[in-house]
Amino acid sequence: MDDIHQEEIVRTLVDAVQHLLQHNLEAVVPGLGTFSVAYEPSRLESGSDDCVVMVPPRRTLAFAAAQEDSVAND
Amino acid sequence: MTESVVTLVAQKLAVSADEAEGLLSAYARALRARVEREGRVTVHGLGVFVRRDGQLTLEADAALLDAAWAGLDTLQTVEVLAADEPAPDPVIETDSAQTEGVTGEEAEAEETSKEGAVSTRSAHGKAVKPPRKRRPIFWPIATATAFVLGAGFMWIFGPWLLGSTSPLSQGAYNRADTVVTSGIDESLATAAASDTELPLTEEEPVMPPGAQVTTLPNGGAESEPDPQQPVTAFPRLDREAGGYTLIVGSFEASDRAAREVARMKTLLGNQDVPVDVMRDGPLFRTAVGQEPTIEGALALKERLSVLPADTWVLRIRANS
Repeated sequence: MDDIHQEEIVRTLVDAVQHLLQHNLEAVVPGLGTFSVAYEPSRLESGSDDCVVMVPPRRTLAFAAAQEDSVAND
Repeated sequence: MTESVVTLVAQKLAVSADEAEGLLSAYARALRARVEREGRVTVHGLGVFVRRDGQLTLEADAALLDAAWAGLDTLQTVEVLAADEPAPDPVIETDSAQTEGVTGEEAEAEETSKEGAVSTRSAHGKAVKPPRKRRPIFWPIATATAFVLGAGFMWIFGPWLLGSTSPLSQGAYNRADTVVTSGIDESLATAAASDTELPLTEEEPVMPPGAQVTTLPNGGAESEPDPQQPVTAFPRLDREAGGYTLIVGSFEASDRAAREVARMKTLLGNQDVPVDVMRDGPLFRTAVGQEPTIEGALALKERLSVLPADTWVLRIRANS
C-alpha cells in the first residue's frame, strides 16, 4: 500500500465519483463529503407580462462537505 | 456488494476496503489542509474546492457535470404562450439525452411543437424539440379487425389444419361429384325429403322446370355399351306404363349413368325393381323402381335402404 502514489489515489477517486454519479448514485468520500445529483423536471410558470414560461429541466450537482470534526478526528 | 467510492477504489487499487477508506481519509485530510492554507484547491475531474463561510464547497468542473448529466443547466427559460390560454401539461421529462437531437440549423429558427405546447431554446440559441406524442390506438377497432381476420383464416384453413376438408375444397368436391346440382335437381329433391314435406300430387307431376324430357329408345343406355357392365336380369322401366321412379343420380355422360345402373343393381341384389337410364334433356338419369303414384315411389325409397338419401322422385314419360 505504501507504493500507491497520491496521484493514483486521486485518479481512482475521481473515476469512482464520476462512475457513481453517472448511475444516479451518491458518492460518499470518507473525510471529504458526499457528491449527489438532484433532478428537477421542467415546469410551467406564470411570468411577467401575462405570459407563461417553461422552466427547463435541471440536473444539479450537489456536494455536502463532511463534518470538520470527523476530518479532524481522522 | 453495493457500489461505493470505497469499494470502487479498493477494487481499482487492489487493496482492502479498510485500506481504501484509510487512503481516502488521508487524502481528504491533506486536501482540507491545503484548502485551509491556500484558499482553493483544484482537483481535475471534480472541480475547485473552496472554503466559504467556514464550509468546504465545490465548484464542479465540466467533467464532473457531464458525469452527472448536469448539462441541462445551459437551457434557458422561454415564453411559450399567453397567460389566458389554457396551459398544457407541464410535464416534459426532458433530460440531457434528448438534447442530442439539436442541430446547428435548427438553432436559427425557433422551434415550436405541433401541439403548440412548448419550445425550448438553449443558451446558445439551439432549439430542443419536446418529445413527440404517440398516435392514439383505437383498441376496440383493432380488436374487432383482428377477430374478423382470425375468424376468416380459421374458416378457410381451420378444417385443413384440423385434418378435415376445407369448406372451399368441400364445395368443389361436391360440384365435381354430383354432376347436376342445378336448380332442376334442387327443385325436385324436395319431393324425396319426407312424406310430410311432399308438395306433390298426382295432378302435379314432378318435373324439372323447363326440362325437355325425351324418350330414350328402348335400351338407349346401351347405345354406348360399357363392356365392363355386367348383364343382369333387372327389368327396365316400362315407359309406356308411366308412373313414377326414383332418381339416384344424374350425369352428363351416358356411360357414367350406365355405370351407376350397374352399381345400383349390385347394391339392390335380388330386389325385383327395374333399374334403368332415363334421358332427361342433356342429362342421363339413373332411375330405380317404377310405381304408379308418388306415395308409392316414396314408400319404395324407404324400403330400399341402399338408395342414396338424396334420391328423388321423377315422373316417367313415354319419351324419357
